[in-house]
Amino acid sequence: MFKVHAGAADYAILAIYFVVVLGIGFVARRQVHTGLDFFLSGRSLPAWITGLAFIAANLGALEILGLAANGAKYGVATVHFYWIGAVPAMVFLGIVMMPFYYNSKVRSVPEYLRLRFNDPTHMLNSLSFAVATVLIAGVNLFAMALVIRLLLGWPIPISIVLAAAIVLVYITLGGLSSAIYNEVLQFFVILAGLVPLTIVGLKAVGGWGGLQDKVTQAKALGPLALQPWQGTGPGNVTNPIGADWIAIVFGLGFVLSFGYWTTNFAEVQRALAAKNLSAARRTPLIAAFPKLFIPFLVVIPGLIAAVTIKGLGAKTGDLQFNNAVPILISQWLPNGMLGIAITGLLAAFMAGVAANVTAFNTVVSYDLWQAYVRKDEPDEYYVRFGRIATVVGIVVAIGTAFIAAGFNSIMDYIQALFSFFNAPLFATFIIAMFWKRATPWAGFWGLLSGTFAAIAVHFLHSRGPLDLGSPLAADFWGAGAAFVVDVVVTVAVSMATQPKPEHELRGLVWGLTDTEDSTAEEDPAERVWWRRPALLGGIALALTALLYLVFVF
Amino acid sequence: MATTDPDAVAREQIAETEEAEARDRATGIANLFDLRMVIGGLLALYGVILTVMGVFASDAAKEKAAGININLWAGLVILAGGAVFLAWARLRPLRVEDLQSADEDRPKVE
Repeated sequence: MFKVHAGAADYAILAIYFVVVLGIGFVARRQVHTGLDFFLSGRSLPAWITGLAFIAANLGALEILGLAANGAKYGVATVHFYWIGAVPAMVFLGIVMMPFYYNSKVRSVPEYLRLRFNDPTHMLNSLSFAVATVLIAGVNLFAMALVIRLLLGWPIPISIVLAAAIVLVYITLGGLSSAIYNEVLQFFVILAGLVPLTIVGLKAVGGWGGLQDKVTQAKALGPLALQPWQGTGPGNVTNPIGADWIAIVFGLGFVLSFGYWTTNFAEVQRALAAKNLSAARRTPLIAAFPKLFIPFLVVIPGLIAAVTIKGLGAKTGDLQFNNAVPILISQWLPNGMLGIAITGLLAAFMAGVAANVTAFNTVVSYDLWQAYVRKDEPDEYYVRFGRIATVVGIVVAIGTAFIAAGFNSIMDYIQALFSFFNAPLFATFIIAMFWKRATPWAGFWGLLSGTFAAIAVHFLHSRGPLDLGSPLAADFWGAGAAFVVDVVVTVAVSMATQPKPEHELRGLVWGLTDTEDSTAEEDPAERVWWRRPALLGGIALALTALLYLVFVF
Repeated sequence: MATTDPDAVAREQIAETEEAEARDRATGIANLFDLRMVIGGLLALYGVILTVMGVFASDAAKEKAAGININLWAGLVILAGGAVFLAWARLRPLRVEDLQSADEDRPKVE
């Protein structure tokens, strides 16, 4: 139904981007013994680069399509995902948790759990991580397919397969050999696409005032769709988001948000690439500032889509909420800008698939196959195994892309996945780090029961017996349930079993780990007032509060 | 003891020069692939393409974008953004220390 007429300039813009990205990857792999390799492999990066990569690694299908869809469906309350649902957790990561991650030198979450708890906990987390990566790769693959369809007009199933083939070529050509560089580059291209789209859209609906009028009159949205907090009283929820403020603050703001930002290693690794602890701590804090303003480029287009596209929100077909941004692009951007917008989206979604498939490959080859199935093979064996795992991962992601395609709004689906995987992991992590009495088996049973609690809440809601408002509200409650069950079970099992001796926990538990910031002491440049983490974090939190106030009054 | 053999002195000088050249080459390549240069170059190129398309924009293209010549305005802003990155990279180039100062035993992150 909607297909853009891309011209030569649009394809040229797209081609230039991929030539640059693959070119950097090529040079990165050639320059193994020079300082450049050092730079690209990311062990000496300044905080502004890791901070932007941190935010860009998150700015994928979920953020652009998912949250714009959410904006169209639920209104202004979607800003909760950026403000209460991200900034406090990012500040906490930078100020409290980063010294711990940076100094303990863990490379992945499963690796940490193996050292802190035992093999079964490690295996359980590796398995659930492998499942989560292919599911999220599928979401990104589906998002890529939406853009490809916009460009070529092909049906979704064929577009998904084509997208998978493109990703395979991209990984094979070394598209991930300089992931951090690509992410920062991609960040600017996405901004260059979304800012003009928002400006043109706002002009078309008569500015912010015109948009407010139209949203107020829209049957599906109404005046409360312009309010983030009003109508979220427990027992009397009238806000379109369908969740009360307890579910928003505890489920989203605490469990889901902290779970995502503090244990998601796709994010945390960006900070570990910083040149010293001080820069690593600043990484999520610097990222918090663009994060505060991204909703204006995502939620506002979502609202514009809701009031300008007739029939948006259909259960099936072209007018599902997921298509909000692609439809706006085809509607308003002329050739030239069109190419920029499509390049930004395609780059972001492709990086999302590639990063998840690569993470899947690493976990399956090393954390599962090498650790538990075939231990002592030569390196080449695992490299070959990893290549097969990559192809298998992409093929499975084609399947999971169809699952994502079945959801009217992919955000509801992704939040459900996060409640299954991230929420219990956050509970286990926080106990593991701060309570040295937590025993090896407590880690295993806590994680397992927490995951099942979230899955139980999801299906009790979706199959009917338990009405929790909107699907999104059910995800918030599921995350809360996962957290509480995980904590209760972990504490109970710890009381009944033997803890590890303290010397085995050195470097893994708070209080038994050296968290002093030694680099900051040595380098006077790190002591400048505007580089102090507490100050940066404080400003980010104050700005969050201020932005909420602007919307309330 | 200072060497008086002219050959040895010459050899030492040649070795020093070669070392310095190798260092310059490494810094040179690194500067070329300095992320600020890459971002600046890409944005500048995109900015030029869009600005040119904006200058020759048809009425239909303007009408599509709610009456704004979006290619022209976005092109100029993107071009300016690219210029800022290029200027930053030129004014504060990478130093050799930047390439070597990191902690050796940190895990390699990709």
